[in-house]
Amino acid sequence: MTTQSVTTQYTDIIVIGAGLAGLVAAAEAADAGKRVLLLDQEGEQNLGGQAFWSFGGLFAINTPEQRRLGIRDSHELAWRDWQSTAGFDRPEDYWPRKWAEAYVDFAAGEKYGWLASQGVRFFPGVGWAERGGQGASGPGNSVPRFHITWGTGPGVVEPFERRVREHVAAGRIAFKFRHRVRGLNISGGVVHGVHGDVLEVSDVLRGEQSSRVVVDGFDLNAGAVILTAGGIGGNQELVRKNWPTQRLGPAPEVMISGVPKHVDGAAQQMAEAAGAHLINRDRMWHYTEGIRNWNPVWPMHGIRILPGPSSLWLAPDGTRLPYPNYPGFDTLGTLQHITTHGYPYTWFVLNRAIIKKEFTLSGASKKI
Amino acid sequence: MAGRLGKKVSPSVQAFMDQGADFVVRDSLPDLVRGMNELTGHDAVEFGTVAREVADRDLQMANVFGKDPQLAMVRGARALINERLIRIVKPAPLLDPAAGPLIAVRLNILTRKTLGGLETDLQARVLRPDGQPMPGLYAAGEVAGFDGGGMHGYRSLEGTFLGGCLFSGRVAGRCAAAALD
Repeated sequence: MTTQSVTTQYTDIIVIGAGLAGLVAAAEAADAGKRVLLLDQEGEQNLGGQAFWSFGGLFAINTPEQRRLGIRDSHELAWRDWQSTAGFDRPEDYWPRKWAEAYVDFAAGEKYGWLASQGVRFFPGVGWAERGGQGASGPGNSVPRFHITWGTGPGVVEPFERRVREHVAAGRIAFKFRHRVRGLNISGGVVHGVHGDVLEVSDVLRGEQSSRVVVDGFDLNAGAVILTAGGIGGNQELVRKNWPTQRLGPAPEVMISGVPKHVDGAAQQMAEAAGAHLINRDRMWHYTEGIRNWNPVWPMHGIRILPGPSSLWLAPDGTRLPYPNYPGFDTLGTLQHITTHGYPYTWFVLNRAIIKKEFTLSGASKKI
Repeated sequence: MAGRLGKKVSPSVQAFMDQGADFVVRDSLPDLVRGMNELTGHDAVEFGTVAREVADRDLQMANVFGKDPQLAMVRGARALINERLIRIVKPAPLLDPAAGPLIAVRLNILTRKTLGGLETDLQARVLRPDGQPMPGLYAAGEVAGFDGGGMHGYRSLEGTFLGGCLFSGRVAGRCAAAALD
């Protein structure tokens, strides 16, 4: 790095990735009085990351919305559902299971009020995702728990973006967009900063592929580094490399992409190379109901149908998929059925009455 | 979403019916199957097979009970008022002309989320393979499998990804800040 403009700065906390987790982490750290740098390899137009494109559904347990519909939910039922759905079966599942327990506690307790206090409101009709179908001990939700945020994904991002921007105005948080982290600064085993490339300014729209031209370098130091750089879903090469062929059969030759190209897993790989433990990489969550966006924003842009349960689901030869592979019942079970049979695609057959009431689209910017 | 109560398909779904590369919309079942084969470019779908599957399903409509488990679960879910009002159609023959046209949608595998990730403890501290924290490094959200290195295990109950980012982001922000005090 020869350029003299390589910036060396010190702050309290560096957050890498300005998606939902990064916005929350930055806001909370700044609330606690810390100075924060919030980095992202993309530009400001991508603030909120994947959450922006989502449908805004939030898992919550025993809420006023559920009770109003006559749904009786409980922490006990939800934790049982979580365990039978997760299927934890490895020594590496020690911390994942602890986190799952903490998260179910949160979703049955503090979550609803915490979000309400920040202005998050839900649509009165609670959705029923992952309906199961393999009996009371099988995977899936026993009751509807999918609380849809007013304003969908952007409605979830908005309060946290607002908190971050207030801290920016007060000088506690600074954004560093187009900063691509390439490595951690580590001395004596302690992580104390990050270094990487500054990419040229890009005026592409949210989600569109941006340039990778490097115009500068950076080296930033801090008391702590928080990685919130997202997953690998936009990196087909890495998805295929991590694909659990033994469990699911070979990956389909054609897969479409439910996330932008910049969801590349680079920071996760960087952390692993620096000594972090990357576990359960064979576990991924890919959908079986992807359609090509007629108006694509990113390469191979796919939209997911969140389907109601009435469509007929057919194999490529026109035979009906067997029980319990029905729309919206068990994403992984049906994926496994499709990929172990080597189907390149499947079909829904339905009519106008069904599509009108039962198709919801996720992965395009929209309002309800 | 309130539009579900009306007669018209939502504009975003209608746009896919009109312009989506994976959609076939036709008035009759023979035409629909022809359209499906035209879309894929090979004659994989047998009209007789689809006609039999649809007819068998529609024959189950004469009663409010029957042997088809998909229909049984549809009927069970419709006991819930919002499922009935805005999410699930009343079971009816697929070939009812008043409910047409018929639609076939080619479904592709869509890559989306990473369930595994960086192993973290309950303070969101990133761990090394020996189980000891890497001092100064925290992780939250999808990079850490919505924390711990995969709190969903093999499967998600949905609505848990945004929530996982909120919860683990909050833990990481608070714990990283507290460690500096």
